Amino acid sequence: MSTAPTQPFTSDVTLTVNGRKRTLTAAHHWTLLHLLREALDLTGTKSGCDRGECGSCTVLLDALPVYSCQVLALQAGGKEVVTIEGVASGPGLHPIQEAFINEDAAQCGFCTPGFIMSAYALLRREPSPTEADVRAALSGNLCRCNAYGRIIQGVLAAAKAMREGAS
Amino acid sequence: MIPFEYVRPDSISGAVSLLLEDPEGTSLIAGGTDILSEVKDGLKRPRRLVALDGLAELRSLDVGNGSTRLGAGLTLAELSTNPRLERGYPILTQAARSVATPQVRNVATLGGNLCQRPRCWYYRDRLFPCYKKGGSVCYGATGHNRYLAILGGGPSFMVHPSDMAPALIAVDARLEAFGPNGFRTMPLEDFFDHGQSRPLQEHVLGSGELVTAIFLPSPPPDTRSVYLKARERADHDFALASVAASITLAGGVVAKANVILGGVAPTPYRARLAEAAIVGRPVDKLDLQEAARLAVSEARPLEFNRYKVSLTANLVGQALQSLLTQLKGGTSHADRL
Repeated sequence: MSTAPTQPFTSDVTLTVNGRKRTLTAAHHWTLLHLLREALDLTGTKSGCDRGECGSCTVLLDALPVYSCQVLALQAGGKEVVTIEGVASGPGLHPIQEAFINEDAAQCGFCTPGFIMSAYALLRREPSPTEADVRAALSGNLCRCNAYGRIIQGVLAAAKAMREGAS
Repeated sequence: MIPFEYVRPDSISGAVSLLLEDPEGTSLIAGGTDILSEVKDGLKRPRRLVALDGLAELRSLDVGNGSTRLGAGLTLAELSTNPRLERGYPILTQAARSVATPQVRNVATLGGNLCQRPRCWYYRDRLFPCYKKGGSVCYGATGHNRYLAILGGGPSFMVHPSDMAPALIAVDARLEAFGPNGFRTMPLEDFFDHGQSRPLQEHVLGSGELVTAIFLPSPPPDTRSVYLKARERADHDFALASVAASITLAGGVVAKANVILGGVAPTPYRARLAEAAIVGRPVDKLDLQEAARLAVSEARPLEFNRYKVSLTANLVGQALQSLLTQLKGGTSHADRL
């Protein structure tokens, strides 16, 4: 066992967050979650278990969903991050957000941003998912209110709305 | 999380130099899913983390005719979705897809999966100075041991958590490591070690060494393989028991069989007696029940994990049945597990 240094190491890191290039000074031991919430004030991304188990901190890193609590801020250097604040383009909500409201897919709502990010990644890759695809894509997100049925319905409804909107 | 220094070398030689500078105080970080959990849980207090994720040398995937090379820095998601890998080695994509969750697979690497530390709750709780943390006791031996080893246990009764390891051993993978003395390779099976000499790791690498790649020989014709994993939840769970099995036929006779068990022993466990019961027999005269029974005939269950003996035997039976069905050209129920 070694003794931890008292002064944290810091470095400048440049990353793109929701389409905007940001350069800031990050402590080496910061997680990406910490950088988003504490340095950039993007508090839509939630800190749940802080152990890569619950999925409430899910963001996209170069288009792939990751647990931002298990990625160091410096590991995201040079990469593109999308958070819940970046899914809607323009002043309105994203179709997935609309569908979650219409299907009553949120109970307490704490897990909702993470679920929406996993669903967002799925629908970018697969516009016509089966229910099995949705279940697999959401398998890394937990909902302690147990709203899974309506969450799955919400994602399927969003996929349908997005297909109809695109045609 | 306690502060540490994060250093990003630009080559594997640079990583080795950094490891040698301060072997005690340095840990490698690739995807980070395991090491960051250990740091957060207070199991490790590294002064420095050496990042491997920027190293192109670890990121190649070459599926060739003679052999296939998988860089240790490939993510499990990349292994899960590679169509050429799936055609040649479906067992590997089955195993990769069974790991954790999409979010974990998007960052967790092949090398990290092979080097991950035990999931035993005594190990993961910093208040227990257990054998795998350098202590003298395995609390699991007499404690809450329902997830622990039924085979090969002692002094630690941990189970090796990797899904990739049994699957890779079942297709005769070799591991490549790089260190102060350059590259060396070994059968992946020999990479794992019970840790009696070095309890703080589950592999044989020395100071300054790191895993760089996995090599896969071309599968012989008439070879089929399958990975089955039993767990408490359908997703996001480690194996209660897993079976990686492959069979090669020659003229209707089983010429070669690998039956490797995961989640039941401190290292991936080769079920030699089960293999011996199959090899040399005509494929239509195999006693699968007997092979399944022999796979666990040396089991010595602990107080709360007796269920694993029949679970593992049944899984071996299902895996072998699946291989026979595949060899006959159909698919069996077990393939869909």
